[in-house]
Amino acid sequence: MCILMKPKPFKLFHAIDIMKIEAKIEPIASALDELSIFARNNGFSADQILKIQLVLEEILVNIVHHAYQSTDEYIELEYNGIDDGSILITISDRGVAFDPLGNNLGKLEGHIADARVGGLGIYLVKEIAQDVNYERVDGKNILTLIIGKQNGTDS
Amino acid sequence: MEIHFSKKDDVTIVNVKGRIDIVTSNQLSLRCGELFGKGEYNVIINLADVDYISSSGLRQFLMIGKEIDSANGKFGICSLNGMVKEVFTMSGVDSLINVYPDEAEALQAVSCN
Repeated sequence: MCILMKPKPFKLFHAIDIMKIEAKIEPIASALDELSIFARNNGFSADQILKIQLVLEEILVNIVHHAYQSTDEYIELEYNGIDDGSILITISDRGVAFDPLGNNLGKLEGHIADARVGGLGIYLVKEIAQDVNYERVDGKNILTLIIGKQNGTDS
Repeated sequence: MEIHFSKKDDVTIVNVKGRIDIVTSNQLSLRCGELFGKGEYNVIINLADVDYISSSGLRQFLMIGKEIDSANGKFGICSLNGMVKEVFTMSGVDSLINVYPDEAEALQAVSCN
């Protein structure tokens, strides 16, 4: 995993799917369903789709918990296919400035009694995604993720 | 997500079916809390029928593991598949909680009999 400092000039071949969900826990499932269909149509296997779902769930839960003070807000999602077969996910919200990638907590080790119970979600996102980038632009938090077919530990 | 208990000697086996995500995961702690309330701290969680877990689920396993550890109980997880197995390994949770390939091996390790 590497963190992009600048967006790359990706060649998009399917600028397909754009959706908007309320910034609540309940609608997250519909965003995951939509992404799953998009990923399946782009040739991702069932197991790869589950890992993409994990990435999106972690990010959306983070936004709902940290970026918004009220739930009367929205999150915009855009899924694009890239010419190398990967998926580019762009997630934006108008909540308070919040960089979820600021957390540098790593893999758990040691004894269970001493283990932390937080910070695993973003760690998993960084492990599974090929690239992940956060920007604050015009009052928006914008997170872009690229996930390839060889994601996670098998990459 | 569905959760069913079964008992073998001094061990309670928690069979989970479905997805362990932000919506369902707290069920796991709630149901295991029922066991702890009865003083049952030798527990195996069988994940054979679980195909998805997110960090909210991992958090529940860590909290359950901590509670069993502080009560000097025995805890094991078994029958992890596909993405679930990969996420346990990727996160390092499999180095903190004993993971067994199947229920028979888990029972052998967790049972005091």
